Amino acid sequence: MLFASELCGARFLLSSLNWIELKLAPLPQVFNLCVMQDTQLPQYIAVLMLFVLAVAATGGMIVMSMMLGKKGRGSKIKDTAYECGMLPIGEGSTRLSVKFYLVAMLFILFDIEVVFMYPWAVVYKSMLADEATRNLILGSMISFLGILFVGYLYAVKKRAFDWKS
Amino acid sequence: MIESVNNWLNGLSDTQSLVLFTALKAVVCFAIMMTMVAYTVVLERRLCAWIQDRIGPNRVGPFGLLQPAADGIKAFFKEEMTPAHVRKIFFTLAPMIALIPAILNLAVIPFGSNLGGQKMVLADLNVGILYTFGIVSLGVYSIVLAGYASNSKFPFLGGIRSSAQLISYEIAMGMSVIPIFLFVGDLNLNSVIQAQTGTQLGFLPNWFVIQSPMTFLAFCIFLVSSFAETNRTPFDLPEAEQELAGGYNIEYSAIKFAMFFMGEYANMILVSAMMVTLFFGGWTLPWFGLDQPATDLIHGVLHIGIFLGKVFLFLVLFVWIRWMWPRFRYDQLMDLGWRKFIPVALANILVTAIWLWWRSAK
Repeated sequence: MLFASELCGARFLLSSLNWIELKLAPLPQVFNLCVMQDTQLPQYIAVLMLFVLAVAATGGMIVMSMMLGKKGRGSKIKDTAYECGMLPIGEGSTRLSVKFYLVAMLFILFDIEVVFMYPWAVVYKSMLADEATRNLILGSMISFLGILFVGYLYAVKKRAFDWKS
Repeated sequence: MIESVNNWLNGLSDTQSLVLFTALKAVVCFAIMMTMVAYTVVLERRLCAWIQDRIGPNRVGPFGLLQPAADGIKAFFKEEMTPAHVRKIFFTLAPMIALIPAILNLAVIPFGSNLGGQKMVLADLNVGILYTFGIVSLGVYSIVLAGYASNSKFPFLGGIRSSAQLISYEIAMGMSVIPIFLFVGDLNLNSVIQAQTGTQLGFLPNWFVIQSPMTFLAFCIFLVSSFAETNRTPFDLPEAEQELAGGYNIEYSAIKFAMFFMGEYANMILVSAMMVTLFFGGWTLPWFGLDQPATDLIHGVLHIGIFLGKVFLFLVLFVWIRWMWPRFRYDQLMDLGWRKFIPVALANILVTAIWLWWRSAK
């Protein structure tokens, strides 16, 4: 279907011009089908439109504020970083606890595991209905979750989540 | 007049009408979303005042209803201050990114059944929930970039704290909804709503929140995680005034400052809409046949009204909880996310899977 969906995209782009629409009108059935529902491509038009709208609105707000806003005079004191009235000492970005890096790494690992679970969740019911695959799908996921849980226990035992130290 | 418009509409090709109606729906949705953001602020201020036995903003317009307009105009006319020590590009980009993911997530929320032959969802994606989680995770960038770009100590600490908080609870959130999809067998959000139609025990709605103990637990985890994801109180550590003087947004002024709050409220609305869709039956009500797709205009409008009503109740809950709970300490927050929610959510997935397996054996 890859080939057909590519053509669909092409046709979709072209058909905004009316005269090409006429020339492409006697296309095989598959094209009409895929324009209507076979592919998800037309659904993403809405996403694209919303994105354009969002960027235009947020960008517009900032530009409007630049144009309408009061022009203040700058001064040296005004340009210092805000630290409740004290003069800032040292750099703005200070050193931070290594714990944060650890959390970020664990996040990447666990997030990927979560993404793996979604396809399983989608096919689970239909594979349960089939006698040949119902034990396979449960067993494979139990083993997957088991390995994940062992990794999780390892992180807990290594005190990766201990913030009081 | 109407005749000619109708003729023109019927004469359009499929693709043309798709583009036209999608654009129309996108603009209307966006406008409604922004209005809701404005009035959620009023709702929050009035409710807060009510809870604290104050009066709240009631001077601008009848019952203070024009307050958001006054606030917006004020934000636009304020002095736009960009301190010299900031990283300019990221400093401007951060408030934009605060709003964009919330608007993009509108695309997959089914906010009604249909209205005049049009499905009341912008993009009926078959990856529904995956799209949502993908876009939601972009929201982290706004706070991280704001903290980094400000090049100042308090915003930096706020940004780092907040990024760790957001990514921790994202895992719990992602895991908590998997039992729902084990029950439904489809990632599309319309299918999730279809799976919640009808009643149980004759009168109770068949919503996932009370359908089984597993889905109820899933809802509890999702609810708490959504408070953490939107930086609302008990979890508002990134903007803890007492420790960070405001957190990631202290170097911001004028509309850029306001945009972070618009983003926060937009995310609140979005997360409420997700909870309504996943656990509370979306636009359906189990009584009076309101759980079937509308065939006429009145039912179509009614469905949208039901959806907005449910979202409104969740927004009230968000505001209410703000005054009922004190803020967590940081180690408690991380502990709750990593050491309580993740094992519980994993166990929940396992129990649901085994229960479905056992039930299907008969």
